[in-house]
Amino acid sequence: MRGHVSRWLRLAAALALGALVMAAVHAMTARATGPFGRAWAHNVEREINASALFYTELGDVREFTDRRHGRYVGRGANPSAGHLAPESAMAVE
Amino acid sequence: MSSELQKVWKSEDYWAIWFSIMLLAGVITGTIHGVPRPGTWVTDPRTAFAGKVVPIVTLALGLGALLTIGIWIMREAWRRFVPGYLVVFALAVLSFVAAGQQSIRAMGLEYVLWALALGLIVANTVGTPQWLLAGAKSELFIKTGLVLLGAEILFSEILRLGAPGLIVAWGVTPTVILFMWFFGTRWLRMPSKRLTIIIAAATSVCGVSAAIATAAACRAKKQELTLVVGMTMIFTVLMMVAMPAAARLIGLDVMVGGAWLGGTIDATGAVVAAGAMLGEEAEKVAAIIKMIQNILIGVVAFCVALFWVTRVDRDPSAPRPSLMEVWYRFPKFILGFALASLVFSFVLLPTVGDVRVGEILNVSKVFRAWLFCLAFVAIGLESNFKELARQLVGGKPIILYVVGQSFNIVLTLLAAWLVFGGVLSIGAP
Repeated sequence: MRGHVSRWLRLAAALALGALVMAAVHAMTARATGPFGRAWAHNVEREINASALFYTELGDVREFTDRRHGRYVGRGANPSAGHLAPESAMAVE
Repeated sequence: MSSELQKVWKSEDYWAIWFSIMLLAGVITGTIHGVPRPGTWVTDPRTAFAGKVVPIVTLALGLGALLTIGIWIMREAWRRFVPGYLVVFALAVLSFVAAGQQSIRAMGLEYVLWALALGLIVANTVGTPQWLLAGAKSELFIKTGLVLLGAEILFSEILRLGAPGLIVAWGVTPTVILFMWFFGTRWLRMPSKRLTIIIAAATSVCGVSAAIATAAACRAKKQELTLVVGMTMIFTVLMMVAMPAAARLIGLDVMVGGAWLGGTIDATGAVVAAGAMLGEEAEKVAAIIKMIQNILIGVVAFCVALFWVTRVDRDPSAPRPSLMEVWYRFPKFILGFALASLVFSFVLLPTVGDVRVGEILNVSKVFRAWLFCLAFVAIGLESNFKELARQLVGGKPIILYVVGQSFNIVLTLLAAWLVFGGVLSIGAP
């Protein structure tokens, strides 16, 4: 009986730990500095789903499939697009 | 021959195809015009369910009824499946809720990680009871999800995505897979060839989704897939932050930087997030390169399945297997996966148009996400930490990943510089 209770206690503790991790992550994203903090803040600000598993999970699939109005229409090599500024690593405009 | 015919109605491989056909037919005909899933939230998880409780319950019952019918026809214990399935579905709901939290989403922690974690927590604390295991049909869920994923692989789209992207994505990817295969099997002498190929595919193609497809194609152990998913996710989060910083530090051209990120970061969402940090143009190039790599997943899964049937699983002293033998042993759901891709690419797209296909995929992709989520909850429920730790003995999987990814980073940078840096004159389509 004691073993049975301790198993359920372990489950409760593990779930509580998971909830704590989530709360910590949320608090960190709002306050974190450095490259990680900037990257997460940027994703939150731009509402980017960084956890998408496949391209179709990035949002509306029509952005990829629509040949006339899709977001990814006619993207090819365009070497004149410019260089990245090396001085402000991870800077977010 | 008759036993092979019986498999059409009695094996999970075929039922994965039948389930997918039924679900896709429902979506294409408009019978099913939306599939719910918990939404995003910031501080109150209840907002993830706004207006979705009844649709999610309906989905649980509808999908459960469909799966139960298949299990009944396969002459398996459908009465035992139902209660277990309902709990697995509830855990999948929790996984989506966890992954939908705004900050978690921004960090790139995918729902499969939460599904695995929840399953593992239950299995390693209270233990998974037999009645729950009966509903944890991980292979059936994953195979059905894979056939649905096939529909999302639009081969015809690559033609308009352009030669530069094709060279970066399709030139580098097979090279990295072969390098990692030989490095893993000959140099590191990895104890499991299956684990080697899953790590190679996850690193060079598109992370978790490639790992799922390849693991299913070579019939890998669940613990092997679990290990690769965990490892890929950790490195993806690190690379999402480090790669844009490196691109800026080197002072790369925007297009070269975007192509580099798209070709190296494993997970699609992380690619877009990293690309966006370099600007809109880099984000689009990165997303397109990743999409081309995503498409390669079908070819890789098919080739791995064929290679396993004809080479790896073959008795070396036996004669070369005949075509019929290859057919008998080939995982049929991989054929369904390839067929779904071909039908959507070359039949449906020209017939109903690109916008309608996008609408169909907007619905079918949610079915696929649910099935993958159910699969990973089930895998977690069937696993234990000791077995997972055993897979990591000697650290060889991590060495393989790090060496392979480093090779990938260098080779992709070279290809991106050659093609997008204007060194080779390859025009846009």
